Amino acid sequence: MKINKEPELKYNNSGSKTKIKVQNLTKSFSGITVLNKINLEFISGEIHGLVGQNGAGKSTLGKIIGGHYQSSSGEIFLNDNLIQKWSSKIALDNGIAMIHQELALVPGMTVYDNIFLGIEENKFGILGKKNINLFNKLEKNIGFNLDPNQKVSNLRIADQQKVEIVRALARNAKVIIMDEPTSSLTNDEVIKLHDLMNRLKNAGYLIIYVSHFLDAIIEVCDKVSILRDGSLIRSSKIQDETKTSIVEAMLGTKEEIAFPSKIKDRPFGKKILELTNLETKNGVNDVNLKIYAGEIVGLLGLVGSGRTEILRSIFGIDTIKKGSLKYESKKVNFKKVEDAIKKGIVMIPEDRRKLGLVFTQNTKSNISITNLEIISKNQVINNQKENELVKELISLLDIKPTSLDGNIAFYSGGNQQKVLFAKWIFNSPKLILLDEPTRGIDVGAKRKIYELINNLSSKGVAILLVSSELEEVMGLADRAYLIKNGKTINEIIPKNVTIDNVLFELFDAKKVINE
Amino acid sequence: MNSTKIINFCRDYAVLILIIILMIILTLSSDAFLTPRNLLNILNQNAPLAIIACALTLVIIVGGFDLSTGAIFAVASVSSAWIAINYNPYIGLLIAPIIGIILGYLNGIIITSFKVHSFLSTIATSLVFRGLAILITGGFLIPVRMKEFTWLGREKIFEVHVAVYILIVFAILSTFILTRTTIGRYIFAIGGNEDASILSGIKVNFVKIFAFSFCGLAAGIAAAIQVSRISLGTSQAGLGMELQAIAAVILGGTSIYGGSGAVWRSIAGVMLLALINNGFNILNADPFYKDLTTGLVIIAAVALTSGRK
Repeated sequence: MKINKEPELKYNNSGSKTKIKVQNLTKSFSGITVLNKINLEFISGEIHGLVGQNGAGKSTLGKIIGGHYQSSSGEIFLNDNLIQKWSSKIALDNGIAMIHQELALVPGMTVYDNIFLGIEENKFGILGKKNINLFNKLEKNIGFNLDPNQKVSNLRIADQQKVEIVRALARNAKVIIMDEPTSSLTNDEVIKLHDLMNRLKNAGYLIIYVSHFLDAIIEVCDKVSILRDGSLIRSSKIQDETKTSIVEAMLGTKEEIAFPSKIKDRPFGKKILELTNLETKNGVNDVNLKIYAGEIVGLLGLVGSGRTEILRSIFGIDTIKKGSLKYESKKVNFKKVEDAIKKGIVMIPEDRRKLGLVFTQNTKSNISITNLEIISKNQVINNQKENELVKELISLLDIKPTSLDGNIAFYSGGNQQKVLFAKWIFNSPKLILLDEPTRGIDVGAKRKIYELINNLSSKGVAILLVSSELEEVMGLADRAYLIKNGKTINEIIPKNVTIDNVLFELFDAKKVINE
Repeated sequence: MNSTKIINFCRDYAVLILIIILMIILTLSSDAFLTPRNLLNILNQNAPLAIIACALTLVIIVGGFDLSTGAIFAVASVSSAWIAINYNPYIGLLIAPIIGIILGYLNGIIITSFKVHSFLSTIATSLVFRGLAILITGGFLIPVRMKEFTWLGREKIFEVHVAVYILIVFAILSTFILTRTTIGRYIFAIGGNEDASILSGIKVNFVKIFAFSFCGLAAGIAAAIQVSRISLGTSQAGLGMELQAIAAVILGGTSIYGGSGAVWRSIAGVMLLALINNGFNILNADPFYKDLTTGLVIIAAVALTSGRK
């Protein structure tokens, strides 16, 4: 589908070329390296794609250039000048704007106010008259047809994105970094966005395009840089690449992470959970899956494919719109989380900070909170029993530090995760919904978590595992479902297929052949 | 390292430090201050406010606010006086805490079922309750001059007012609930991270309703003491008491954001405010400066605690 020809951009940047160069750029988060000695050059007048698997570091690289993260080491050069201090404010002052996956607009304010937020014309703090002419000039250049008086909260996501783009242009940005801009757009809107990107490029802008939609990258980019595990694999002209060559470079040959070995072909128990044509309002549509006692089942999908939402619908957070949820061969519909927990379902959420732990409380209280009934009589907590139980769990899971009244806000990610596990395992759950169990934790702690997951399953606990790290799902799961747009599209036995095949299917390249 | 320790100590115990400073100043300036009589008097006079502050601590830790305690206090007062005159003085005293629980429970139900912030909903219910109190009195005062009614607020056992004993028992009960029971644990957890608490299977609504009912109970008990003491039921009873109670709780160092705090802190907060008042009285100082001084002490306490986690 082609869009009506929109006006060429009148404003032209080509007089002043912008060049961004990063040299030996390294970034680590609490000891884990996510970017490793990246050397890259971006020049105005091009659309430069950054691709890689989940966690390859493509977003992080974009955010460092945009000034949202500080690099751990390495240099950034702007037009051959070494940058000493860097922040999103300084980046913006130098014409580099970033458009985030989660848009950063003020919903209650109008389009106009959002665009000029922070750069309002004022005299001694008193706002000047609305400069509609300036808005119209910007508008005309791009041809978005935005209504300046409309509230942003009334706009669709695609239009909100346009506001972000105009906002960047209003600040005289010459470089625009877009982080997964298409993830919430319809096909039609994607085409329009690409058209705009092309026009910006022709007007001399530099666009850095972070995306995992390879078709989009191939269609619109001039150059593509492929990242894997924080390292730059190669940077090449788009004509020299094909979808297959990009995927192959993204995969590489991985260093093997050792997964604890499982008892082979162990028999599973009775069917615990079965979803049939399940649909919710929150992005689950048509999910079919089943899971047996003692089985580890993985959900494989890209970010935003609806994996977490499937877990939420089982746990009673999101209401079921259509289809059925059978638990222990009875049709159920959990209205409240407590009901699911009472039936032996627990969820260990992805966001430890927001959904998992209570940081104002110590380790002991965090662990015992789900077990209070066991250690109390007539609602009065038995301190001695509580201490014994918590001590036992701390040593069982090897949580460090071992003190009962530790401040978990300062624990490492791995130990925080163990605290979350400790909370639940004493209650002998039947089904554990595990969302990103090893996000942001180091290799040693990962290994411990893997062993724990295996142990639980060998005791007959069913585990539904979501992870962005495909190796993890492939290494741990007995069975896995491929998820796309909130649908289960295929079922695989991980030991019979390769990760490459899974990725090819998730990226739409070709279907996995089950053996 | 050591200086940060001292700073942290000051932050944690700001309210106690201020109380001690104030007591030293008052002891040095007047012989009448540091006498058992004066100190017990302070306790007795502030027992109703302190009882409310104890229970309000639970509400604030769970992440809520109760601006209707003053109005509950009024309804309980006038009902108590009305029943004492028309039926029986003992039943009159007993009815106050019962009405307190019922109104507190109503608060809890409204907050949890309509999902409105308690700050807003308790402003609304305080108007409703105050209106109810006016309806009960018909706009008149209800004097109750029976010994069977006034003993609660006026009698002494071993030279100590009954109200002080009630305060002590209530403070111990509140502390016990908060620190030793499952529901106390849930109160801290919900105030610290409500989403995580829901995912932990805690009956969040039940816990909130409990906290608000308990706060209502406290307002009712406080009302029984006060109405018996002044032997007069009035719909204007407890005006502004809710703000004093909140100020005392926060002054004591309980986090306004919920998730942390303690009952003793709130009592200390009440006592700090009371000492300023008492100081003005025994020093015969110009009462025009009282509000000003109270405000400055609150600012000092807040400044000392700022940055505390």
